[in-house]
Amino acid sequence: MKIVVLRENLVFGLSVVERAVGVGSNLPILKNVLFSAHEGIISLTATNLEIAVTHNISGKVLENGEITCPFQILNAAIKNVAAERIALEQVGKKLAVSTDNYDAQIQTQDPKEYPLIPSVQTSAPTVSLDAASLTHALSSVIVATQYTDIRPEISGVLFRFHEEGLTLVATDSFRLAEFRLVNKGVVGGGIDAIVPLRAAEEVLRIIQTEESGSLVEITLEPNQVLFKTSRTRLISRLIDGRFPEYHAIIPKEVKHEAVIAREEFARAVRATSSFAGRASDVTLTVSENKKFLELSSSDAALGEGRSRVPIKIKGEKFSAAFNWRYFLDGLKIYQGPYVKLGMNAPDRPVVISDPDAAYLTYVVMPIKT
Amino acid sequence: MNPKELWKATLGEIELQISKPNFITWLKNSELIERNEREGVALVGLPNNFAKEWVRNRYHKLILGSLRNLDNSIRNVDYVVITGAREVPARVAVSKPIAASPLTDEHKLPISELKVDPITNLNPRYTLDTFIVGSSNELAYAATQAVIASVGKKYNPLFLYGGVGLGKTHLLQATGNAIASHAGARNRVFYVSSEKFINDVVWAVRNKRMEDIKKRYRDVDVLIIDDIQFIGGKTTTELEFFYTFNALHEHSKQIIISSDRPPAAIPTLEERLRSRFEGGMIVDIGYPDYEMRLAILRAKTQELGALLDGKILDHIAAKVQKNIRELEGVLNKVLFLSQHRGGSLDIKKIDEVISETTRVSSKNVNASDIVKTVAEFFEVPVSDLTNRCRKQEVVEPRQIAMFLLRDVLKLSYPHIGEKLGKRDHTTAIHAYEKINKALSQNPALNQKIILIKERVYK
Repeated sequence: MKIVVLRENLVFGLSVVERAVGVGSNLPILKNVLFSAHEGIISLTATNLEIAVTHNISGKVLENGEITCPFQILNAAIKNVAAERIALEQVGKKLAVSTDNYDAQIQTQDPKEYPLIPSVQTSAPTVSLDAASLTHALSSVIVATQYTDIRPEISGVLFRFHEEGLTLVATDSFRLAEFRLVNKGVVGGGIDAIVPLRAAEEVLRIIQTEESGSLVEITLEPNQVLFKTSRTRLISRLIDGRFPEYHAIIPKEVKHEAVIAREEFARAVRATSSFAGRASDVTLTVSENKKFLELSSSDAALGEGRSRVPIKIKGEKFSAAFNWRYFLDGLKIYQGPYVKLGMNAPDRPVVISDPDAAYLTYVVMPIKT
Repeated sequence: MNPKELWKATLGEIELQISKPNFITWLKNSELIERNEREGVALVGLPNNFAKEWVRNRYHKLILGSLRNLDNSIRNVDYVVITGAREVPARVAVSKPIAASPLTDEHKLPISELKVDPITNLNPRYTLDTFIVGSSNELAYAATQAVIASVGKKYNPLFLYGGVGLGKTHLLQATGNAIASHAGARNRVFYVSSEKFINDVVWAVRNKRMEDIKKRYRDVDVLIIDDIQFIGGKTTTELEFFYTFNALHEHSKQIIISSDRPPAAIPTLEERLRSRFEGGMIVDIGYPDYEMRLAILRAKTQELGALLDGKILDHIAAKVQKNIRELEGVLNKVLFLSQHRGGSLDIKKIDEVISETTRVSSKNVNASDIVKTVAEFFEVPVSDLTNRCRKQEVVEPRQIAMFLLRDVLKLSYPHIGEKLGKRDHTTAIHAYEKINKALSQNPALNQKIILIKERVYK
């Protein structure tokens, strides 16, 4: 193999595949990155056997071939050279990296030893989405999930394809976020796929760098999913299991509603949270005259803090305590100037919504006090 | 042969032909799902698509060959990805809507059972949250914090020492627990008392299984050994420990050791081990001061959910000074009494409990034993202690002797004065109070007293 690439492109390509490189695995070759150059296309591949990322970079192919070498070594070398153009060439069993003022020879392994990236059947159902919409949707719901070994079925993001479009849902059983993408090139329906959190994070990282207007193709197979952009392919296993019937959790209607300025509210939550104790609880109470929402938290060892934000309320006064982190996450995913709190009883889930963003719903459980 | 046995035998054969990492990565969680006798097709289940892709392309011939060696009715092999769903009893279980129930339980998370963890050997009951930090142990606490933050890099080995019942084991185990549960890092922690270590070595020597010991103790990231002073004088154990220590230290694995005295004061410890201990960080845990004792009592009563008069706690904290375990013992007893007797307890009753709990067993020790031991310890003639000599080098030994006579034997001050050179009882009182005060401030003196007491009781 012999190629010449711009350093910038190579650095970017390496950063795309970086997080798919295996760590601490039984198979040392998973720590490698695989270069392949064929017919003018140069691709980098990394896999940890959970996900696999392949990224095409532009460059000049002088000789076809494949080569694999340890990712960290190559990355460190490339990152620190100053030259604009880098030539990579296979010399015997080594990879020669050369620029105008830098030469390195990296030990390689037989590319035949590198894991084969699973193929995806062309007949499998495929949908195309606008990258910007998917970025928006995924980044909104992903905050609501966490890694857990105890309940694998919720340690990922649910992609539910249905007649009207695609719905993304994530939960960690204390809060839940749902984003409905309507009619955005989705065909067919009735398919659920739970994408592992790590893969979802990677997808997000990759599509964030896509130019506006570009498309993402999602191909589903029974055990795996492929996300494909113009230059990058990410294959991940799917989580095996059934996502909880989350509709039961989202309250159908709410008794009390309060409209609050979002930024101000978020600031008040942060200011009060400094005094939250071990349960991270901040209490929200509607003031006597129904004109303010009072946030308070106290801890015997730290002290106590209160803040007040003006609200418009429909319905009765209410009071409930929340884990402030979960609450703040719910405020951060919206972009509009106002949010609406929908409340039923102090021990029932609370809906945080934005009247201008009806496609997004965030539900958080109060803490029992 | 049933499919399970057949597959086991096949894997046994394949294992010899491919490298171990490859075997583990690709075939470890595989199984033979079915064997279709009529068509001669074996269906092999693999954990994920990567394995399926790899095995189908690279190991197909190998697997087919091995299977045919054992069962030549098989003509072909097919591969599928095993989905966990096969094990879950289909979809019946989901019929009930999950409602909001999993969401409401944040406050009811069951407390994990407090059993000793079989892998780390740590008791989860000991946590840093329940460790009360005061002036006497803040250095030790800070050192363990530094160790938790950078395991193996700072303060290696960490050597904690302090008297009986001052919280060494608590701090040690809590540190271990903190490291083991540290998010992100996967540190293998192993806690062992030196007695267990000795027993293991003895067992290994007898059964010629030294390899087991080496494996168990060297294949860890953090080794915690409690009460190391007991390995002094046990040559093989010391040697084994020495090797283990070196092996771990070379690979910058963290070692945490506790003892009831500093390395220099463990008389039977080999020189090379001593110097290694001294190469790390040595911190002592001293006697708790009054405020800290009170804080411990308060925390303990709160933990037990009991109510006790503040005055009683004050009193206990003031009276029980040298040992946290005794402090807790007295508290437990007082709580028990107050619950079963009902009504309030008077200070007198509490004094009784305290003296019952903390009484030192003075087995067959008499005054001349103590004086003799002190004299030997300081290498001065006994007569110098018992005459009216006022040489400077005998002043401290004599005061220590007075202190011990009072502390251990509870002799009267006039009697003590009489015994040690016909002195006035005020001299004895002064000596006792001076030493008693110096104890909390001067660890070296404290150490001396402990060593002397040990010799007295031997």
